[in-house]
Amino acid sequence: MRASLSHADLPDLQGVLVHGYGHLHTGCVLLCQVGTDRSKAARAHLGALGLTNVETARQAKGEAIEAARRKSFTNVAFTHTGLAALGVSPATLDSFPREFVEGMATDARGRLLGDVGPSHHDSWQWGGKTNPVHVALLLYAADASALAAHRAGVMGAAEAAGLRVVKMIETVTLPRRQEHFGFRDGIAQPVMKGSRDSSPYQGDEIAPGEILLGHQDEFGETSHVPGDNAFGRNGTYLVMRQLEQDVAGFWRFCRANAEDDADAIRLAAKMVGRWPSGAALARFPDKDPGPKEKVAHGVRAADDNAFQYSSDMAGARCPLGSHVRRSNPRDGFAQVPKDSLTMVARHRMIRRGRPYGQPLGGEAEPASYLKVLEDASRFGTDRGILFACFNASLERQFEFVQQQWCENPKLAGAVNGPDPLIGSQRAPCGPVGFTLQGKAGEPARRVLGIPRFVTVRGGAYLFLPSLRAVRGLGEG
Amino acid sequence: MPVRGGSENALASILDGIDRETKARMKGEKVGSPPLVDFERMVSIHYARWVVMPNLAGDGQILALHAWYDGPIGDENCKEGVARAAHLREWTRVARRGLDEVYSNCVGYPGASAGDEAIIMFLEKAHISAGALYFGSPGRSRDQVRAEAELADKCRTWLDARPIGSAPATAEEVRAAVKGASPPLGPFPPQQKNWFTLACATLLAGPPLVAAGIAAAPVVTVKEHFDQELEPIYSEAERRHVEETTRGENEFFQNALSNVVAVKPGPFRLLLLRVVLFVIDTLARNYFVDGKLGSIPSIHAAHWYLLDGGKRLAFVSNYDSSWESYLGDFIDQASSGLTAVWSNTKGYPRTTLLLWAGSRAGDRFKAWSHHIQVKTPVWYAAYPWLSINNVNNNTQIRRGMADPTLDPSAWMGVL
Repeated sequence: MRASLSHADLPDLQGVLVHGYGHLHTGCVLLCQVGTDRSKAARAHLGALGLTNVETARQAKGEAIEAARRKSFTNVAFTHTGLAALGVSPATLDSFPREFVEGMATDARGRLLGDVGPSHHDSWQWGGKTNPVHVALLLYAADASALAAHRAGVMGAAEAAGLRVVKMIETVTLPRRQEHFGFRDGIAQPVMKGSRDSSPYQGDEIAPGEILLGHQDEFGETSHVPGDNAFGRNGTYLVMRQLEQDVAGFWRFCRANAEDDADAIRLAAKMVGRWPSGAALARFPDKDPGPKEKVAHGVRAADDNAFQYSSDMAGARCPLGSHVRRSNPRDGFAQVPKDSLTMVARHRMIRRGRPYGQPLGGEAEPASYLKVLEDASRFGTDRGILFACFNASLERQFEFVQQQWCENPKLAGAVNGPDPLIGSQRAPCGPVGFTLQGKAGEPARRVLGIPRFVTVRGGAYLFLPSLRAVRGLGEG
Repeated sequence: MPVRGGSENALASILDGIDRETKARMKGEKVGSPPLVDFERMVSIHYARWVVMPNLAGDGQILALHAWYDGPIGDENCKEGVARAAHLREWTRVARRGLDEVYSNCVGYPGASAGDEAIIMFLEKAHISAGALYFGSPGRSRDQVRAEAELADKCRTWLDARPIGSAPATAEEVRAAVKGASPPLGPFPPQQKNWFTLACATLLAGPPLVAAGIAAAPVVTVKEHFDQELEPIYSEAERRHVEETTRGENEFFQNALSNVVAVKPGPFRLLLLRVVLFVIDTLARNYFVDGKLGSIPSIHAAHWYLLDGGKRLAFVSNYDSSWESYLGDFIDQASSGLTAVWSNTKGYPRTTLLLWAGSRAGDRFKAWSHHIQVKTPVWYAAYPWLSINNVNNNTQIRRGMADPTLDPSAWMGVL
């Protein structure tokens, strides 16, 4: 029986942990460094930040757009070097797990995560050895003008307190909640038990200790609390990565390996594991049923999240190596579906990523991408996703999924078949390929020579503390 | 072999040089001079390593050479002693200079001027038999594994070259288009579960084990209550230990894990451990012969050894993918077999009746495992980019290519 989050803890959590502010279409992340000898001022400033808790975030969600427009929200997280720069005690700093202390930008971790070649941390725009980040401020607002006003206020106060903004990333919301390749995103989303009024899709409910520190996880173990409870409990780890997406490259590759445009979209869907509309291949293997709202009742069940893989263990419907299947294998990973669900529940993360940059060609739609491939370069390349996820164990959750499921070239018996969408496509063991499993007794089809479509431009492991801990930072 | 006091640094630098030469060759880099230890020329070796660990008293180092090797080609079913003698002869024939360089830093080495027989005697004297042994792809020589991989690649290359939109190829078409493997290969591995041995073992050892188990359960429960488990250590020293012992990981798809841990004191635990190792060894040799040890699908080879008259237990394994995923498998699958082994060693997360819980305490289990890990200064794998799944699939493909009567669904799907 998994434990439930108590109502006493809810008001202590930063709002973004439970609500993604989906109704607020603009956002931005301010990545800051603490000025030398400014730790006191910076702490006082951060301790007094008007942060949102879960309650205010929840209320805001229900408000009319007019009211929402007047409100904007802030959440805050720190890297290990950031906590050190703010003067957190050595004993507390020492009590964090190794991966958080070392940070994302090490060579060993790079080999693990696939941050090699053009994604190596030496080339990062932020978060690397030469341009570390201490504090991340996550801002959300209803539209561009509301965001601008909110940001000006936050930045002014931050800089006065000795925080220097080293990088600012503005995020956008694309139509139909797509990411830049043209697929509806953020459909499967784990929810901590007890954190919401409405009950989520059953398979997405996880024990609070999978995300929050100092709570029971899926195996009934209490997740490790760094420092004392006032500092570490109700906190979580935030993984942030700026992933540049080569949209033109992706669609060019699909088109070159297909008979026509429709076939290119089909191949792309096989690589993703969902159709552009978000419909799961496990349920619709041959054709996109189209946007949910346009389909008559009964054709498509209530939710694109309500499906499993155990009836497609060979991958004839949804390829075993497709992106969504490998990052959340549901009940299809172990031979016994129930064992698979138990196992997968230990490797989930709450995702809060948002796209940045303008869509290729102006219109976010696979069909229109395919039309502008000839002269795609005039639309620039600065677009992607600001990946963000929360988990209680960086090693067991984010790193495990990224390395063992996504980067793993041998998943499902492949020779060299890493994640076709986000893999680093290293080729030490023969050509990189994506395998489309055939029917029983038929050989699989391999699509070879997949280039890297996603390049890491920056990243950091951050600690997102409880509201009590942030206040304590200002007092201490 | 005990390392001579004061020679630790000299030994470390020689091993480091051998490792660099070995890894460069494993990566296919061109290396000028002939290597000190040319693993490539030792055809009997699948995987090999040197491990450096503290001695029992903790005031010196022990150097251990560990290899997974085949018996002489053509005599696959020979006795272990015959296979080992041939293997050691290969060492002196191919890598005598390397042995001299390495072992001149160890106590009792006959010296560079001694004859090969004296060296073989020296190595043989230090030999320790495994308490339990598992191999994920039994019955195939190194060259057979490589040749099967080559054949499978040829088939895939032919399939890959077919135009977009082609109908799926049939088994006959693949057989006609891709001609057999070269060089000629040995016999197909038996790869069958040995039900006869298993049945005999169960009949003979089963009832007494069950009876003893029931009788011992209360004792075990009381002992478990007093077990000291290692709490995760969050310190700079521990982080450095982990960084040093894991430094070479993730350069290839396969990785190496070596650890050494003290067995809980007293004859009861040692006896228990010997029984568990016997059971695992029997199962591994006769039942887990198709690439999975229990439910864990990522182990190429694993060996457990009792050291120092049963005071310490060493574990040496070759596995696929990263340490985190390997240990993650142990935790996710809550493998009671592995828990049964390590529940008798110091600091292991608390167990329930020796088989349950234990590795489920993920953080403690990983911290414990990191804590007891020792350095593997030299590591060689003959096919570091093949997963154990690949190796076994490739054999399946070779069977399908050679045998038209085999059902295509048994091998076409893994192409």
